[in-house]
Amino acid sequence: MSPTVANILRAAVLVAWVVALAWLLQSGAYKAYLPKLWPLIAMGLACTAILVVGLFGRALRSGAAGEGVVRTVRLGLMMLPLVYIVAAPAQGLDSHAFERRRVGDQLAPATPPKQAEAPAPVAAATGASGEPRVLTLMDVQQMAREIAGTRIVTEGMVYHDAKLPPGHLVLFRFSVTCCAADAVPVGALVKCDEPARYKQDDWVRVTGELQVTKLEGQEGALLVAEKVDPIAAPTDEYLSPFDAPASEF
Amino acid sequence: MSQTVTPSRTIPLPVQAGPAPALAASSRGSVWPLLGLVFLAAALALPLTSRDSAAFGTLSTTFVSIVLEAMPFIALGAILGGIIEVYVSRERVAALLPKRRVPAIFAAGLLGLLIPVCECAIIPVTRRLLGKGVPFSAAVAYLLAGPIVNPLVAASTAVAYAGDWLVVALRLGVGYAVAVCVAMVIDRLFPGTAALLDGRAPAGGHECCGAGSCSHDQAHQEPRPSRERLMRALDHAVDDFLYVGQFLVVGAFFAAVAQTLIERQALVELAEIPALAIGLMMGLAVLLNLCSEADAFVAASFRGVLPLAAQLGFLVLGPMLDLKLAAMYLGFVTKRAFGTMVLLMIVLVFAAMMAIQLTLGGTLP
Repeated sequence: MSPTVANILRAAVLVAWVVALAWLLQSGAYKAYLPKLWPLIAMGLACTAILVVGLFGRALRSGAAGEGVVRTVRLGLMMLPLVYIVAAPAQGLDSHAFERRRVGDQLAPATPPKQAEAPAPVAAATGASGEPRVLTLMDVQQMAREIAGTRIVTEGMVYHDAKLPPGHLVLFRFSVTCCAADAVPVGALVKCDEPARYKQDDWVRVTGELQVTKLEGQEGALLVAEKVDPIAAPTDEYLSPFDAPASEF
Repeated sequence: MSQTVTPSRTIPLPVQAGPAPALAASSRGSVWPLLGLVFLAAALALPLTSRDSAAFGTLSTTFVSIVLEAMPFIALGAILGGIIEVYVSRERVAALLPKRRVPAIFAAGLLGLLIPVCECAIIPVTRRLLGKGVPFSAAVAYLLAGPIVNPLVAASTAVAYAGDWLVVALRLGVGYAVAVCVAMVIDRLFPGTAALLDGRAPAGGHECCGAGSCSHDQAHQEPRPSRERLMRALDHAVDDFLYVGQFLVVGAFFAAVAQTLIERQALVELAEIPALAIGLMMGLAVLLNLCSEADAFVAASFRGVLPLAAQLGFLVLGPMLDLKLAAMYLGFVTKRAFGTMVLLMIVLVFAAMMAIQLTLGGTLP
């Protein structure tokens, strides 16, 4: 492969990366991969643009001739992530990832869930107007014990598990620190009428009373639903361990 | 005025190869280009054949997210490496580290406290520092300890474990100790540049001068216009970015496959015995390819389910060794050196975790 051709191909790969990173930022598609880290994408864009300048600063004909196969493989590998960005339009993780990443059985009891015998004292059960308290699923998991008996509203994706007793489904989302690779599921069991109405991975908003239940020896959050409303997927599908408690959706 | 540096154990300067391109010399008769083509073909076929499957969605999202998170750091590291190559002389680099090898190893292991970059950015910088005569053992100490012994990782670990500073101290302390031990053994077994591919400091597909390796120090000692020097620095940066980037892509892809196929709950059910739990979590760390600022939250999700020693095994080994790092290491060290490093890391981390299990024991909240 001549130096000229090699340099043209290298430039093409780098320019492709610049375009891809710019598109991810401008369209917001980066949120499916790195929900909070747009500065990182911006840094990558800036650095790659600098590399493009460096490449165009070199005369096309300069550089080493080299084996075409090695060059082709290397440049092909660098293009592979861009192919996947185009081939699989940015979408968040779903129930398949939930099944792979869940740890602990509190969301999939083999026996019907037991009701909490005596609800814990209710702190700020509802707002002043009797409105349910708005919580993310992360809040629900973390605060279930201290606010059991509270009327809440939360959102998440539907997961149906054959091991669940009739009239139950799982509501889940993912908590992400840096990128989708480190996403950890958070969720709660939901008791509702006709759970089969909602398809796997449907986004729903659930209003109901939060309880704590003991399942397979582990405590878990149980939401006894008053109503379940289908909703569109939120712009920010992922939660973060650094998010402040929700006040509204 | 420059000083003559005389380390207590003299190492030969990296031997400058002849004019044959490094790429051609390393690939002639090698199966790696063919394997690369096969991998590329298989990876490109997946979107065509499995695009609508749920598993492909998980694979694609995970693969792209790992690459997008790491690539900016590799680009930044490549630019820094290019600047080091052109603007920083061997003598200046040699003056930064203690003259004797053992103190240099100990000091290099702490560099992450001053320069907290992720493991992906460390690789291209370290490769260039090796070319400047930094001992390989010191580079190993920095490579292994840098992604753990740094304030960002300490902070993220503290947050993930709700302020449990014992976990932070154990993670950083054990990480540092393992890194230094591995570096010391490597220093004994692979003196000089014996651990490096072709027995010389990485040129990494270097192409700016049309030769496999150029006498850069000689070339760059001569006064050159600043624009030309800057362009040469960026030349090196482009080479490093493309060279290291290919290994990142391969490692990230296999990590995404692992995340798509492995059920974590199944690991929990297998890990009844603490030693098995530690081994499984160490294996998971290698497969998941998480950055060291985020892996604490994944490890913390196993609290109450697996012993602390198993969680720590995940936290200590992961930043040192995962699929993408393994691929990148193989880009500039010999297979024998790589195998030795891997064996040492695994044995030392496992031994340390068993010691923690026996002393602290049980499942801590």
